[in-house]
Amino acid sequence: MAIILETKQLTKSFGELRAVDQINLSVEEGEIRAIIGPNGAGKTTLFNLISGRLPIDSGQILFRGKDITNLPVHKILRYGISRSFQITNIFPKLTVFENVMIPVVSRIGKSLNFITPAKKIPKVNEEVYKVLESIGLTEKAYLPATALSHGDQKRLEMAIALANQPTLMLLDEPTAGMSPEDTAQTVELIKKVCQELAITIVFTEHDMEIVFSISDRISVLHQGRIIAEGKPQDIRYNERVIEAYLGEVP
Amino acid sequence: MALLATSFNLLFGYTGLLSFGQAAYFGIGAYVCGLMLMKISSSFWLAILVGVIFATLSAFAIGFFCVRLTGIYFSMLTLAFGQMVYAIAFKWYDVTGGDNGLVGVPKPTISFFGLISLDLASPLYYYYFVLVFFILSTFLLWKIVHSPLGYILQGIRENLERVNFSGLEVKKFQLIAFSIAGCFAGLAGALYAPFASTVSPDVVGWTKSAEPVLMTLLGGSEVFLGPILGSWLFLLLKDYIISHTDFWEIYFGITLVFLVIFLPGGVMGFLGNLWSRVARR
Ligand SMILES: Nc1ncnc2c1ncn2[C@@H]1O[C@H](COP(=O)(O)OP(=O)(O)OP(=O)(O)O)[C@@H](O)[C@H]1O
Ligand SMILES: [Mg+2]
Repeated sequence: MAIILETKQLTKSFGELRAVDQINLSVEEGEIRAIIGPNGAGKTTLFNLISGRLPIDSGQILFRGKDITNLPVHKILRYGISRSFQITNIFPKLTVFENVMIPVVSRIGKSLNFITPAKKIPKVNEEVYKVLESIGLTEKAYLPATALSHGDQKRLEMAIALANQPTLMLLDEPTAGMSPEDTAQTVELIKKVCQELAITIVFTEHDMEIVFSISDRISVLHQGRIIAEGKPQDIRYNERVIEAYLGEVP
Repeated sequence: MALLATSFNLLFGYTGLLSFGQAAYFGIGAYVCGLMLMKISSSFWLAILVGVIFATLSAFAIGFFCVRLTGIYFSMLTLAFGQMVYAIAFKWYDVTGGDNGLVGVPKPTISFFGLISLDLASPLYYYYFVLVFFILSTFLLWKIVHSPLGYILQGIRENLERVNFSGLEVKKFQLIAFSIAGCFAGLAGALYAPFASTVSPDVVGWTKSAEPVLMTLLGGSEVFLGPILGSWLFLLLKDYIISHTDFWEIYFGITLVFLVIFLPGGVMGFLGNLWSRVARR
């Protein structure tokens, strides 16, 4: 299988703190990769670096062999890397439909159209509903985003990321704050949608059962470094991982 | 004035950019149009067109620098540039007439393809002429607000970062919004010049820039018609208070403060809330 994403010696410090420390990550096309680690391990920071949200200190990021280090956010997105956020990051006062419409008009190149009513463009409607249906938000299309439950807002977050038609999705705790059943359902949904659309997933998640059940490979992050990497069964009983979670690593 | 407020609101209410320098583009439109009519050509169409083009281009050039900053710094820079335009209007005596301003801008006669001509010296005709422009511009702004571009601007107001993560360069769209607002402000200015027959630096100053801000807050920034209602109320209120007292600015200020505190969504927002409450019964 081809490598879709690769980071080389990726490093980011906040003052004295090395939040991401010389990380070499290599993700295969079509894979579901979990990035786990205790709070403050550097998972979100890693996503912020890959997606261009934060400037890197040193290292390199390759997407399908192309150097995308230090490109602005919107260009990285155009390469096909989309992301969701740990803290819900949506357009609160717009409706669900309008939330998804913004990435859609962007992608189909209608962003400079200033005359046609946006909701009357057939292609826009079609694409928005395709995404809403796949994520199960069709019935709530005309509710303002603020009126949604927390779980639905997280799903909307996903829908916005999907509307960019990415080939790689970085999902930062897509189920944070959801009930256990809701979490399980949502994760299944994500897995299904991404398999249908052949999207590679890199995600973080605190529920270990889910991580072990759906990921192909797992990278364990601790204090900005990858301390273990491998298949779920290898990680589950890895001593360094258990120690890291119990806080016993010197 | 209502047009100026609506154009301002495209920036503020829809894109979330608070500009303290809208009067600059109004002023540029007014000065250029006035100068055209006085010195170059008697065609009002041409004068309006050139005025609007100048206003739009200056908004584009100034916006280019302003959108690099965010929040209050953006607003301060628009104010600074606005004051610069004011200083130019004040000091460039040969062209702008300095503190006297342009005096005696002629009231033009306009012709429609040489068929009908309309003498705008009559205030009534002038009023209708401006009204037509106002309706057309409002219609166009309405179209813009509901277009894909309009929703992107609203997206920027709501969550600028997520627009960025939708594959769009936020600054580019802020600059577009800034230029469009400058364009309509320029149009309002160009229409104002012959009507007032004098154009003085006052129309460029920061007190003038504050007017659309107040009008919009008064009427409600998140409703399309808010600024129009706001500009009405603003002028009514001002007239009413002036006719009752010499210290109108104080009373006017106090009234505004109360309105803004007690009606945070503006009058339109208040009516909207009231309506949804009544509807729910
Ligand atoms: N913008 C920032 N400025 C300063 N320090 C930061 C910043 N972002 C993150 N950090 C620090 O970097 C470290 C890694 O944080 P990060 O958010 O990447 O962890 P995480 O693995 O996502 O944790 P969690 O599981 O709680 O989401 C933490 O110690 C955090 O305090
Ligand atoms: Mg995190």
